Amino acid sequence: MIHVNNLSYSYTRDGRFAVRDISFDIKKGEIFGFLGPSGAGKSTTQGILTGLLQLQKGDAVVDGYDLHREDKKRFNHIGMSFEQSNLYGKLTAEENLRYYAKLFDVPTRDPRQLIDMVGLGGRENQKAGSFSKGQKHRLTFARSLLNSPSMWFLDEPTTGLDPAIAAQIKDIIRKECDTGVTAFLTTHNMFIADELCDRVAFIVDGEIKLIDSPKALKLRYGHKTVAVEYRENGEVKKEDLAPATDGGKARLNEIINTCEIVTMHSREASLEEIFIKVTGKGLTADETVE
Amino acid sequence: MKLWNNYLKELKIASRGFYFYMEFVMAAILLVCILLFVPAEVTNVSQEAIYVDLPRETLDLMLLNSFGEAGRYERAEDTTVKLKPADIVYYDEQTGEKYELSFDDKKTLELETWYYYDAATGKHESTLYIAQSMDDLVRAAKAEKWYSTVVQLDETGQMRYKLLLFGSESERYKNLITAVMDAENLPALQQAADELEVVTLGAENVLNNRESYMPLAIVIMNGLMGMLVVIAYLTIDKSSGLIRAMSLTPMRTRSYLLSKVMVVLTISLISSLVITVPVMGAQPNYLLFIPTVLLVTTLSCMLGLWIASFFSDLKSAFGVLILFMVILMLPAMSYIIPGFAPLWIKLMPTYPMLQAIKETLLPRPDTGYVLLICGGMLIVSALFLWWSEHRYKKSLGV
Repeated sequence: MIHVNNLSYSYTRDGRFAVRDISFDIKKGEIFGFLGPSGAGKSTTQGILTGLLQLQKGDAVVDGYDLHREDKKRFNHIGMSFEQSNLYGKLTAEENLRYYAKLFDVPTRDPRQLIDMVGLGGRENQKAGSFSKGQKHRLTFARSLLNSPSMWFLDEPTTGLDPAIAAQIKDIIRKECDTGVTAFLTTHNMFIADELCDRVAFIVDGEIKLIDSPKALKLRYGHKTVAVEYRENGEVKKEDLAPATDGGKARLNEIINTCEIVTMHSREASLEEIFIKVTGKGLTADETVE
Repeated sequence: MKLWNNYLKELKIASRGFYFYMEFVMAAILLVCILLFVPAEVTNVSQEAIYVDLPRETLDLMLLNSFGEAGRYERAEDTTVKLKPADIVYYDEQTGEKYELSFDDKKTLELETWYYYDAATGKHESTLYIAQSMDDLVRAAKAEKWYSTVVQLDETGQMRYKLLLFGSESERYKNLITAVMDAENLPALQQAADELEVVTLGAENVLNNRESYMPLAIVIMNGLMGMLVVIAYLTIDKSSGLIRAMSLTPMRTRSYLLSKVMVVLTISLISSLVITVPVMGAQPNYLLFIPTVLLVTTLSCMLGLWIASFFSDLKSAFGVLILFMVILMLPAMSYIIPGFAPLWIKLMPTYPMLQAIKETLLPRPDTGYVLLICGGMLIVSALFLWWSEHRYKKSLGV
């Protein structure tokens, strides 16, 4: 669905690249996570693939369309959910979607259904300008599905949403992708990437450091640990132990045999921990982890 | 179809905003001002003061008889002039003598007032104020900036005229006044005036004073304001990210830009007619006027599109916008003072815009000239649209 080969992009055209020589492929129906801190090159890559930025160097084919050639028709098959909501505040929720739907040359979905789907049912006739930040974000998300895109770009799709609504949005993403929609998800939220993505790419300083499935990454880089909380001499203590190691296994046995266990649960390495391990960087901009 | 849909959407959004109605309110205010405060014909009534150091009967004779068939004086209501304390110095140009007058009091004068009407036209052409003393005349002349005359008899019993001037008059003007006042020259001057043939060129194909303001009103209100509005629309769309959402649809960038321009054209056309129809009535050739107004607005909007393509928000565009508007306003000077029309002013787009609109309002417009300017505006507009579209495609960013 997406083929990217040696893609580079410079805003200043002076040899300083926001994205440098990246290559990857995304299969149809896949949810591909593009992960990295702010300024890593996520939005630039997404901008090139959507067509917001002109292709400078390298090759990119999206949904069969070569980006070297300008073709407005390809936007009939692309959906884009922006991180920053961009709606007409003076139009109602329904007017926003109905107007947008008229811009496509393909059959579009019922705006009311989409509004219901993102939990804004009953607010169809409310002006988008009066919506909360989260409501605007959901309407922007709903708009990205109007043309039933085969290629769906999602930029921080759950940012600013409360956990219940975020879960609803994640559910919609899963369902849509189950029908064959390909999703390109950019985020710095590793939990969402972990939950949703079939594969993830770690991008730092414009370069892709690694591409794999979250599960494979955990197997390769993560160690299972057991978090145990116990009472010893009347005092509650906490330890993270790796039962796969001899020392960890022995210490765990010792605690079980000699102390009163308060809580105990196993824990996998998070994607964030793996990201730090692989890239040496944290997920906030310019954060370097020793 | 997409262009039409986008136009309807933009119109809907505009109609829910303040500016849409503000433009019509502005047009209505402008109309009221033009109709109430701008006279159709300019009257240039001169004002003079006189002190006659002669018996009253002599003055009455002068006023009622001395001008023969040229015109007549009629008594009007007295004029009140409030005088402040003043120090006045004046010189007798013939003797070089200096006079210094000092007045410490505040004084209110009730000056006898006469209107002079031209016999041929019946128009009120000048107003004459009669002072009761030389001091009153000098103070009133100084306070009101009136040209003043003192009439008195000399030692030989001949009438002598003294003119009070302000010192800024040229020698040629002074010589002219002296020649006119000299009774010996009057027959020769009269003869010269009689032999002079005055021809007014195209008097029936001109705009009156009020109508002549219409091209200015239309170009400024629709043209320059149109440019401002387009820049505002686009920079707002840019800063709110709407333009990015729009660019990820199959709609062409050109259609998006044109839909914005079409909204401004709609507002422009309505507001132009709101002020033009009541002032001009059926005189203009509306089949020529309407396309010209639309092209004036189109060209301004295209300039606006182009300027907006360089800026991400209205705040950063504002300085350049104001500069452009001031520069584009300069041809208005040339319109008001036709003698001032250097080439660099004629090269500005607002110059032909003003001339074309003016031409369409005339009873007998030069259609060829208007069409030539319209064609030029169309070509330049198309060029700016192409350039702007090219820039927007390149500068959407992420």
